This record gives sequence, structure tokens and C-alpha cells, in this order.
Amino acid sequence: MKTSKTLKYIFISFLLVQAVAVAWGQEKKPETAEWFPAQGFTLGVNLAGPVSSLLNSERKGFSFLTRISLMDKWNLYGEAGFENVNFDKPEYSYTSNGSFFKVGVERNMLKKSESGFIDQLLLGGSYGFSFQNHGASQFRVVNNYWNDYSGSFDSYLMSSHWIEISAGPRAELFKNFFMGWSLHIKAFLFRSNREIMTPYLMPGYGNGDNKINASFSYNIEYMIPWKKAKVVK
Amino acid sequence: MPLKPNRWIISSLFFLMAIVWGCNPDDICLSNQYAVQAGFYSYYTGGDSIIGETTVFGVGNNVDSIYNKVSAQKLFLPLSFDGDTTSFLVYDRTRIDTVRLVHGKELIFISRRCGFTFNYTIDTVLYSNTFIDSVSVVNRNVKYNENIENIEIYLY
Repeated sequence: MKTSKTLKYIFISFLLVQAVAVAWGQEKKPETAEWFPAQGFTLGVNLAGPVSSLLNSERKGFSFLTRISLMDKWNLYGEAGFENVNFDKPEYSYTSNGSFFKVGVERNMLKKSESGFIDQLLLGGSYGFSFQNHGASQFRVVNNYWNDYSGSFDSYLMSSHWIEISAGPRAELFKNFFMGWSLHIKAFLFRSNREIMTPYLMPGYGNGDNKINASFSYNIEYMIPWKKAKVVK
Repeated sequence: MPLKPNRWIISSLFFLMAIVWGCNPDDICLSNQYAVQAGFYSYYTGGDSIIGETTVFGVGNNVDSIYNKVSAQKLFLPLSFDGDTTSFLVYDRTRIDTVRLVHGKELIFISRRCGFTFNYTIDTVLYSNTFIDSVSVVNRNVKYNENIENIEIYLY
């Protein structure tokens, strides 16, 4: 079980590395003129949710994201999506439906590309907020000598807050078309409605038991420029 | 054009980190965490005491024994999820004593993998005096993932 989970991660990670390798492997045009990349905002999707759903049928998730050029090296980052969980296990049956939002800033850590394409290594920080309705339609506590105990928890609404840092490459594969992935390290801050059941999964955050979580995002974006790229000789 | 070495390093680092995070072990669920830990002690010396052949039944579950003719210095006595009292018949060969534990309980959520269980608080211990002199509560709380003796049973 643990081996197959590890293999899944290796497989996904290998695909991601290959994608980035292709992006980085683009031919560079020898130019002496200074190139200024286009500026604008992007609309994109994070494919991490659908990939998780393929690997784990208990989870369903999807999210949209945007990046807005602030200055030469800075982006404003926003993401919104949903993540639902539904399972029946001997210990308990659980349902959670929820949405999340993230907002933050990112900085490109690479020097400006001279290729006419935007290659970036983004380092960012953001704040995350989610709300979800979750409950256990049944749970069972096993007693090996006396009678077992059965009960249920009605669904209730709760919100959660966290901060995260992210890092990862992003490349312009075709004109205005970007692909990239990033590693996210998330630190839990607080949640409302602290009933005894912790959420199995906090939308956008991950494992509800953990104070620190890590995850990957794999993004495809299209940029709508408000300032075209230009070359100054 | 091949990738520059520093870019290979960055790619590999993320690749390794992905594997490391993928290998995080799930938590382990413990069983029988609702049992009171009871130790036998000598009324005369205060030191450890062993019953050479003890059998223990839960009152109301006389079909299955918890212990059957074993030599023991320590007992794990599972508490019932029903009601606020759990009673046990403790045998020293043919001699019998009753130990009744009066307790409160609190439902807790262990983790997303392990689900729910109960933590207990021992209020009172009532007992008969065939071979038991006295019972002392040294730790009232019976908690998940806590391995502490709760009561001391002093034997004649």
C-alpha cells in the first residue's frame, strides 16, 4: 500500500520534472538588445485537484488561479477552488464539501530571460482561507470485550485559515501560454467551530490532522497582456 | 540546448522532496486504549505482588474471561462504553473478589485515520475484601496513547 503510494508520487514528480525540462530546454536567440516581457494577468487551472481525484476516488477537487504582473519581478497570485471528500470506512463514514481561496505575492528569482520567452523560478507567500460543511453519518468505537459504541455527527459549517510559502519553476511554452509547478509548504493558523471532529481534509490545505502540510500544484495558464513585450536596442 | 547544471539541481531537489513527502507514514491506530491498568501490591511490604493463578471476568460478560489462570502482577481491565460503572470478578485460584469502577467518559476524535474513542475518568473504586485489602487510585485518567498505571490493588 505504502509502496504504491510512493510510486504514484515518483511517477507524478517525474512527469513534472520532464515538463519543466522541456520548457527550460528551449533554444535561446543570441540578442544584444534588452528585452522587456509582456505584462498582464493570467487565467489558469491547477491540475493537482483532478490528478488527486484520479489517484484517490474519495476526493474531488478543482481550482482556478490568476497571476497579475505587478512589477518586473513581482506577481500578485490568487486561487479559488473546491475540494470534496466522501468515504465509508469501518471507523466512520464522512462527507465534506468545501471551497477555498488563496491570495499572495510571488517574486521571480531568475534573471530576466533573453530568449523572448518568460522563464521564472517563483518564490511566494500567501494566505489561505477555506470553509466547509462536514460531518460523520455514522461512527463506531470498537471494544474488544464489551459492546461497541455507535453514533453520528450532524454536518456543521466551519472555516479554516493558514499561510503558505511556495516555490517552483514556470515557463512560457508558447506565446502567452504558461506551464509550471510548485511545492507548497502550509502552516495552519486557526479554525472556527472547534468541535471534536477535525476535518479529514481542509479544502486547499490538505490533511486536517497536520499543523504543517506540503503539496504540489501543477498549473496551466493563459496570459491576457495589457502591456506588450518590447525590445529596446 | 541541454539544461544548465544549476537547473538540473533545482529540478532534482524538487523531485526528491516530492518523494520524501510521499513517504510520510500514516499514523498507527492503537487498540485496547480504554483499559484501566491495575497493579498488584503486597499489603505487608508495599512491594510488587503476583497472583500465581488469576482469572478475571467482566460482570455481565461471564462467558469470556479477560484473563484465564495466568500469573500476573498487572492487569488491563477494559471499561465498558455502556453506562458509568464497570465491574470485574477477580479470582485468586478459588477465592473471588469484586472490583467495581465508577467512571465518567468523554468521546474524543483520535485522528482522521483512527476515528473516535473514549477517554475515561475514574471516580471511585468499590471492592470486596476476600484477598484484596484495599485499592488506591493513583491516576484517575485513562487516556488514549497513555501508558500509566491507574490503580494499585493491595493484597493480603
